[in-house]
Amino acid sequence: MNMIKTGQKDPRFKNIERKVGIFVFFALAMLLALFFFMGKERGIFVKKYDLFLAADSGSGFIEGIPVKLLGFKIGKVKTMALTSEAKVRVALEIDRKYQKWIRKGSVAMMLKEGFIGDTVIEVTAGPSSGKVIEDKGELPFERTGGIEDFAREIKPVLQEIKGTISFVNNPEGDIRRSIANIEKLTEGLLATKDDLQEVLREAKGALKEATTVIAGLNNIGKKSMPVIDKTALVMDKTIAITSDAEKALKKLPEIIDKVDKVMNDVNRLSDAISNKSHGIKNMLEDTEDVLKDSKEILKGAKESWPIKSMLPPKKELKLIPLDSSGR
Amino acid sequence: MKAVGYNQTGIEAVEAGDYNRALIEFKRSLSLNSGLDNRNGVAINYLNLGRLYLLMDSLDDAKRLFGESIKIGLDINDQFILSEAYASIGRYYYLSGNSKEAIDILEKAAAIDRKEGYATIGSKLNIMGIVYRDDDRLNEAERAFNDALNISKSYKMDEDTADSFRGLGDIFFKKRDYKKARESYESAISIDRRLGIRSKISLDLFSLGTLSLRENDANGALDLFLRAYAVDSGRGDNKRTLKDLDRIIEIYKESGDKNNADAYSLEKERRLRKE
Repeated sequence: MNMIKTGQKDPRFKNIERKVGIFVFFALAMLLALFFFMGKERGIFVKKYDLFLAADSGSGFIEGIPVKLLGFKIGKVKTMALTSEAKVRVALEIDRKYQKWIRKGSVAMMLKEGFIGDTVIEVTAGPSSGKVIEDKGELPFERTGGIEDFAREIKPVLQEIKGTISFVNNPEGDIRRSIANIEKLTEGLLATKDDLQEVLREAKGALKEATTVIAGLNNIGKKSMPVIDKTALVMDKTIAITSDAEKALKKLPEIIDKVDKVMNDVNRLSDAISNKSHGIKNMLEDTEDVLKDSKEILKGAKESWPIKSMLPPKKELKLIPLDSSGR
Repeated sequence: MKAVGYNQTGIEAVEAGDYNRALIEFKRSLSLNSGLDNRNGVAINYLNLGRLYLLMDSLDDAKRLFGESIKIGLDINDQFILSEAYASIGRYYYLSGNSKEAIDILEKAAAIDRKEGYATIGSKLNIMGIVYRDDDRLNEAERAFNDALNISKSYKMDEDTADSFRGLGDIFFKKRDYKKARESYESAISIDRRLGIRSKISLDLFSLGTLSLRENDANGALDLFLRAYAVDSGRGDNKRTLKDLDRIIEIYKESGDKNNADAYSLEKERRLRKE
């Protein structure tokens, strides 16, 4: 009781209800003002109207992506729905104050801000003679190329390049088999070289022995009579020479056989090259096509925005366009 | 490289309506190309000078230069030069009022383009269309413009496509199919705006203005002629500006707006003195 009495008498508590009321009122007013300004910033109080566009695919459309006119944000994508004709109907929510610019002749385009930037819907201003498109009206839609379209165009070229590389790398393929044949041929040639060296060595030995025999015969001429004693020895040596010569002769078919094999390998190789030349020709044609496609794609890329704007103008003599506008 | 630069500056001067400047630049380019014995370059310079003379109403000078470029084209067997030179002579015949000769030589140019697969064929068919149009052979003109439209679209030749639309607009206008005429002119102007070709935009505006006048929409027509006037005077094209002024004065007089009629008449007189 004492405390209450003290509180009631304390001048600081005088008109406390009014003070609390004023405080609460200002707090609420501030809160409302905050909501109001945030709402204004977000365009909640701006009058809006809806426009529709029909696209073949919903790819790239996301609810909330900005709609721009000459680079200024004028609205956003509100909703998307699939129609019974398998088209995508996209609703755009546009600020009413920009309605005067969107007329018959305006076109909506899906663009990338920069080549790989965010997607935006750009609406072109219609001609002033065109009728203003009313609420719930339709806008024609065009999809323009971003990096996805570029990737789509370049994909077949990359596939062709991949196919060419696979063709070259295939172990059962013409190129790899030709290389294997060349390796075999090289091995055959090395073996033949060894054999030839051996034959040459043996022939050298036989020649040496023949020289000795001839020298012996010379001695026979000089010594006439004692020859008979040595005849048996000479005969033995002659037999040995004959035997060596026979050996050498025996080796000859083997050498011929090996040379034959080498020739077969050479023939096989030339056949392979001849057969495979068709494949090589195809490969070259493929490569040429790929290069041609790449050239066309590069040309297309060069002519398309924004790459076109990044390239310096072509240095060539140009003609004044021929006036076809009448007198 | 310098020759290319002078030539390009000349083309830009033509687009800006500064024909005297263009003449100087093309002659500089020609002098360099002649010194280098670049015969293809010389032929292109002759063609540009000839086309410029056509714009400046020096028809005989133009014809002489086209003849020179044909000689070079035959000498170096350059089919593109030949086709463009024949088409230029076609335009010369058209401006001289010889429609038969114009059509014959334009057919020759178009045949080369068709054979060689040149994308410029649409421009030749468009000129054929305007020759037929001015001869009141409307069906032949419509066929030529339609052919030009289809070919130019397929080659993505936007400027020629816009010319075809404008030509078709003229044919529909003459056939009193005003709805189709407006659609065609609108298609032409939307392409020309996208390309930013001011000389063609003013033509489209003028055509739409004439159409609005025919449909008794004097206010709409006045707005369009005033816009065409703004574009043409900005480009420095006195001849076309005078045409725009004629229509503007006519509408102000019809509507009884004496002040504006007098003001624009004074402007017309000032410009006539410049001629």
